[in-house]
Amino acid sequence: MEVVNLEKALSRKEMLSVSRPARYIGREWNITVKEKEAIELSIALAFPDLYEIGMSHLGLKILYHILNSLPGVRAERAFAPWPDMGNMMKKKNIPLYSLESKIPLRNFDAVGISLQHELNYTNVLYLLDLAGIPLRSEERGEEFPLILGGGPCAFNPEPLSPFFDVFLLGEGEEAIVEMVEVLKAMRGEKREKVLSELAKIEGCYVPLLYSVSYHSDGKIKDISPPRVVRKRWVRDLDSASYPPEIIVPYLNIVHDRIPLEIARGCTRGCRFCQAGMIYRPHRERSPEKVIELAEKLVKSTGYEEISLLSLSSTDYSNIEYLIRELSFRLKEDRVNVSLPSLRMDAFSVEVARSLQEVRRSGLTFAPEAGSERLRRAINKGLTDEDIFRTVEKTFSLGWKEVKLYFMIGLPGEREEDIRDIANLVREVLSRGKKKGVHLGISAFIPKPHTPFQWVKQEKIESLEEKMAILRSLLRPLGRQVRYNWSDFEANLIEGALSRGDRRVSSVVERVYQKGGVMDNWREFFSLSRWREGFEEEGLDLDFYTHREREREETFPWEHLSSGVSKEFLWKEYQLSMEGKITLPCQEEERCYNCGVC
Amino acid sequence: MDRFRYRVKHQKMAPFHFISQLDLNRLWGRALRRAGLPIAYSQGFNPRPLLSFGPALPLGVESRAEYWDVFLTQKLSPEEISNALNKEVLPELKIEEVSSLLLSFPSINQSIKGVRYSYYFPYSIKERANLSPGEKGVEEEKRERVGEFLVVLFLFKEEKILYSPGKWAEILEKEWGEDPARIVKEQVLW
Repeated sequence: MEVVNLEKALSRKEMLSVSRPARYIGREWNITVKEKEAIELSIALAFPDLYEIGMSHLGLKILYHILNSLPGVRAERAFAPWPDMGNMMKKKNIPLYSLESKIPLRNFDAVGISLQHELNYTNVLYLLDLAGIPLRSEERGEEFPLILGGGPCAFNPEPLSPFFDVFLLGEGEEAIVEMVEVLKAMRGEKREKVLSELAKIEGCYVPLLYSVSYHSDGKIKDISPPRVVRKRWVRDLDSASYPPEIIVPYLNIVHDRIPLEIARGCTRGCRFCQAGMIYRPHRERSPEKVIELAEKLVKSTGYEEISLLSLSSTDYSNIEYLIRELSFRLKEDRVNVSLPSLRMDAFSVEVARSLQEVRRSGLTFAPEAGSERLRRAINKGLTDEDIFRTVEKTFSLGWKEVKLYFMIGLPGEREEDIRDIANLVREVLSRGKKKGVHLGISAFIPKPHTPFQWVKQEKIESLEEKMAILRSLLRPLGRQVRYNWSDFEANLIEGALSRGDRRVSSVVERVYQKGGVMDNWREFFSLSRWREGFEEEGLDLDFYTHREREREETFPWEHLSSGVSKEFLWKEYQLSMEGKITLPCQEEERCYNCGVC
Repeated sequence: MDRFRYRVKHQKMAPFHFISQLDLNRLWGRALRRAGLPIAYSQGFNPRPLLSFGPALPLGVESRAEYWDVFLTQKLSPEEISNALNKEVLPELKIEEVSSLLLSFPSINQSIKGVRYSYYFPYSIKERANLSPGEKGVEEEKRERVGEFLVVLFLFKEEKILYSPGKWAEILEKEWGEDPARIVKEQVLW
């Protein structure tokens, strides 16, 4: 078996010349290296971003665990190297390799790539290129691995469709096992045959089997055959596989703690939120199961912190009991329990207090919009009073700062909504003495499979004007207010890719050929490179971003279903424009027939 | 509360020489916890295991002689500690020795008198390099053949580490036109 001998390939000095060489050595605690087992199928799990980002991702840990617990299956990890290492690898002819056994990726049977973010698309090509794997599926001979994709971007993977063989829509716990069975059974068969067999698995989308035609105005005429691929979702989280041990990295990764998923999906139905739509329905892992996993994970990793993950953790039905029980059991080991985000109410602040989060300087909330009217439009039904009461409670319990997330460029937003952000901040400051506000402002990006999939994205100039207004209003508030905002240029491209069609794939390829990598890092992103890419491919960037779609328009993702119907999404869009709220769904008692269950 | 102090000696061989000192500190905290050892923690909202480390080893330098001190809340035999820890780390970080210390014993930094490093060069430099002892704090020098590499051992003068191992590498590179393929911290002189 061919392996990369890193010590021979790169001298000590060369390794020291790249930033954080620990990213490339592997040898972490709890990795699986199958040395003695006869391997029937090998799958590389590749993450198109830096080690510290990819290693923080829960889905990767779950798939790694499931695959490696299957007899005869080898799953190993790979991440996108920082460009200093990427260039070094190209110069020295070192192919992208797996961290566990240092096997070149091109020698695996399949490479699974996680698609978490649109700005990682050029990195997908970067991974393939570094691995010496031809970028386009049609250029790959039988000797190359199958390229599989999954993650939220698989709900509209069209801008990547020529580069992949199969996309999996939705949750992978069960589907990956079915896919492995097919791949094992069909070893040595022609790719075409394997793909048509994989396409029979629910949730598997083989782009090659579909063709798309266009009207002269650029809109999609038809996607054929009319067979819809429906996403997979796990019925019962307690019986879904969850790793009792996870890899403990040496580097300080972005989320350097035990991720413990307590619930999946969200009932709140915020209209801008893609996760809230595509991860439906809401399911919870039982407290007993969570506690059992927590104890195993603490023992196997030695981590000092557990984060209870879900889209809205304080919505978990037994959250107080769970936290009390966990804190009690983990006290002796000095393991802290934390929550990733808090709902904006007094209850959540109480929950945070029980977590001893006092040791942190602030709490984080997301009102998302400045005015009650606009919050209703996006179905974030918080009143100003809700916000003030929560902040008052936060300050009175000793926290010194609140971090508040807002979006600008929301559909139906007016200048007064921007002014209301500043008004809200001013009022928040008045509710405590010597307290601070940290504002995080990001541009709204319309996403597929949401009620706002029809709307036009706000232009950069207009976002900048709004930001200028906001800045001028925040300035008089002095040093108590800190704020930062997202990169509107990168947001524009994220939007174009998120609702892009198959034709956009040639733009992605062109941008990569022009040197585009690590587009989600400010130091590497270049809007002019993307503009050139669209121009040279004869595609209009505005067509994808700044265009209101008609109700009946055929979307590039029309054949891909999150389970939530287009009709439901349209209805929600109309309600948004009327400024009407849709209360959280509650299974039998209050169902809106979104179509998932 | 009772406190018991132990000094742990371990290796840090390739590829762990690319893991920084800060990352290593975190690693030991986690390994101790996995090993189920009765660690003493610092007070306050953010309790940390009571560990104290010696001088940081530069990135890219291997070591056969790294040390840190740990405080436990129960008295254990050094063998128990070393066996428990060795189950929780990879062989490159093997625990060589654990010794029990008085609480008042001087810290690692206070006790170190000198450090001995090996520089591994390609054998080809032998003709080019004029290897004479006695310069720049070099007190002792040996030449051996290990595989393809020529091994040069430097013993730094007592109580005075004249240059960092990386600085030495630069000096040698200037003189001999080769960067050492490996630098290994061999021994700490107490």
